[in-house]
Amino acid sequence: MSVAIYRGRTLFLCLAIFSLFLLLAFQLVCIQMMENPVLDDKAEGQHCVNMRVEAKRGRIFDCSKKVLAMSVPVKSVYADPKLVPEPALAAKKLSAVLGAGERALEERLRRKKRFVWLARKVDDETAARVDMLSLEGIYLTDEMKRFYPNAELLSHVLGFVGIDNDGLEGMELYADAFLRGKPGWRAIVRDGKRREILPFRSQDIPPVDGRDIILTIDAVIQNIAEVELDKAFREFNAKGGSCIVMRPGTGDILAMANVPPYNPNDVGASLMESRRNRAMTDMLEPGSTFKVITGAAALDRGAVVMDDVFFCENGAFRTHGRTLHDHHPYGNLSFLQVIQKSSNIGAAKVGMRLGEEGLHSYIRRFGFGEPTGIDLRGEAAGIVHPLNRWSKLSISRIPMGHEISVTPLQMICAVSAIANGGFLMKPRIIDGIVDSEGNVLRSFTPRVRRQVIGEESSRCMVEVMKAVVSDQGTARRAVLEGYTAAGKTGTAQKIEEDGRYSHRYFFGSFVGFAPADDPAIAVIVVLDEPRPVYYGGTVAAPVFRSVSQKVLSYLGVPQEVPDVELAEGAIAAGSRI
Amino acid sequence: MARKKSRRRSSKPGKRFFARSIRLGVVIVLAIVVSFAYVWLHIQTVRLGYAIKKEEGRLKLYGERSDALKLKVTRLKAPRRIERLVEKGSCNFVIPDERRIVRMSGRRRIGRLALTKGSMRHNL
Repeated sequence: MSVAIYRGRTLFLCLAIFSLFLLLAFQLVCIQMMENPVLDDKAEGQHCVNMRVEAKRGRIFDCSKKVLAMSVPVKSVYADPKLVPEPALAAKKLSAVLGAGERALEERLRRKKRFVWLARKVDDETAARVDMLSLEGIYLTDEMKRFYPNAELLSHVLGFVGIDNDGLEGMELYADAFLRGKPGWRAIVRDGKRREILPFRSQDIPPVDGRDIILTIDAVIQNIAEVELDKAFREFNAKGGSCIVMRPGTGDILAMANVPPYNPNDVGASLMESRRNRAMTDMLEPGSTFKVITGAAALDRGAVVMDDVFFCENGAFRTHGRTLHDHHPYGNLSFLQVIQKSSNIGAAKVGMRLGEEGLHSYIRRFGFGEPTGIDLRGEAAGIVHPLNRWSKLSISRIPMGHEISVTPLQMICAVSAIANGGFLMKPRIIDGIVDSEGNVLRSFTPRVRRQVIGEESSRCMVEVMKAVVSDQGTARRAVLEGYTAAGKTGTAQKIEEDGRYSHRYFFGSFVGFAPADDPAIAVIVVLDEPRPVYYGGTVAAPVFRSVSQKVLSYLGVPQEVPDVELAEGAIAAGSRI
Repeated sequence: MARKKSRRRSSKPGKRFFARSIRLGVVIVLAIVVSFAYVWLHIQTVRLGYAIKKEEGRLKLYGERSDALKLKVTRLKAPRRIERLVEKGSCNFVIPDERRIVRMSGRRRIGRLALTKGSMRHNL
């Protein structure tokens, strides 16, 4: 090979290499100068991510800090349809694990989107099985799921949350603003393996976790109330029922039970009907329990005194063209006996003495016809007709609990006012709001709404109600062992579809408190359509008795030992010495 | 003499150049060392970031496990579950009647809020 050829080839090679480098340089310039903005954006889109950091939803505790509701992370399954090579095969495999329809899954996997949910909040086992499938484009992510560890306990008060953890019912809805917290944001840079490169984090706004709510409810008392109410609900084939346990002095709700129950961990399996907090949403004619309100009002106004005697017309009282009947014919009854025997005619005559204006005014002062202001949504106000809409019969019917609608919550608040010396308390169900470290951010103190009756009237009415819970009264089955109780039974006819009073469907109720002279608890029990027996004294009073007996024992309220027994004990002790 | 002078003249700039070259070399070496140190530190920072993220992940995992355990404890302590166990008799539990309960303190367990009628005055 001649030198000239050699030189020529070398020159050609150099030129070729130079041209290649020139081309590369040109390409580099093009990339750096011309396509820079586009590529820069693309790279930024792949590496820089604005990430939302979810706040943890606050917990709900009972008064002794037992957890009633809390959020726990669980796995959710999602897909990037663009990265799923064989949607049909993936759908088939996933269907067997997730239990979802194969077609529905395939339809989702064929969507022209970069993100689709396949299953949300699955259990650990399912998540592990999905993970084991190792399907391309199918991923698992963490989501928070709300759990109610006590299942049905207090479910009507706690309510539940939706799939996105928004409060939908009960306390979850009412206190949603406190519970939900505030999500945070992070501007992060990710590497090729989608891991965050921590030093490049440019923005970090941490989430503010939701506040914890402490209720006045005591889980043990709530359980007692629910179990006893459920027993009666089953025994008497009732349609529904409610039981509230309240501290009369402060208005603290210790228990608010409703039947039928439902499990908030599986809301879909329950009927809407069973999710209602009947204790504050259902309005009912109170029936004879309302006679204590009439009596207290009449005593306080001075329209009657304890020694007054009423002639009960031997069981049939004709007024304004209608006849009012008593269950048993009575002649003369004292004021105390009118309530003790639950005479409708006697109550009507007490109401007549008080007068329309007086009765209406006291009804309103006792809080009927307006919400009690409890910290829960959906409370009914009840129905109290304005005075100008009262008929001539109203003054004889309202005193015995007809022509008026109240909620069990209103009724227990009113009776608590009689029990505590005349003060109408705002029912308190939230004790406080605390942060995750337990620092109290807001506390809810007991609030007196107004003084309804005087202390003397209250004392007299307590004596009357004590007489009801005795062998001579209508609430023999509410008599407690070791404690004196006061209360009133009620049996109210429901309204038929044609607007007439039903002779088939009734509300059986009892409202009372114990110990009568220094009440620690007030309890109301209402059963909707109990069958075959429906009298409040038969269906509701025994529930009051068992609930009160257990709750007073649990609270450590000392039994009221009669003086005779004390004396006998002292003598016995002396003789031993 | 003249030769010596010219040698001196010629050696001085050579020495200067040599000295300058040395200095430049040192600067370049220093710059390279600093650059390597910078890159090394940078890599270390990124690695530390990964380690921190890993620990954060573990912390989160432990937190989640702790929450799950708390939930389990609460479920196990649920009053209704314990009552069911008593009813089944699987744990030999017996619900004591009032006479078998010995109270260690005579004080009422009514709570922090007063309940007596007299105390109502303070609430007003």
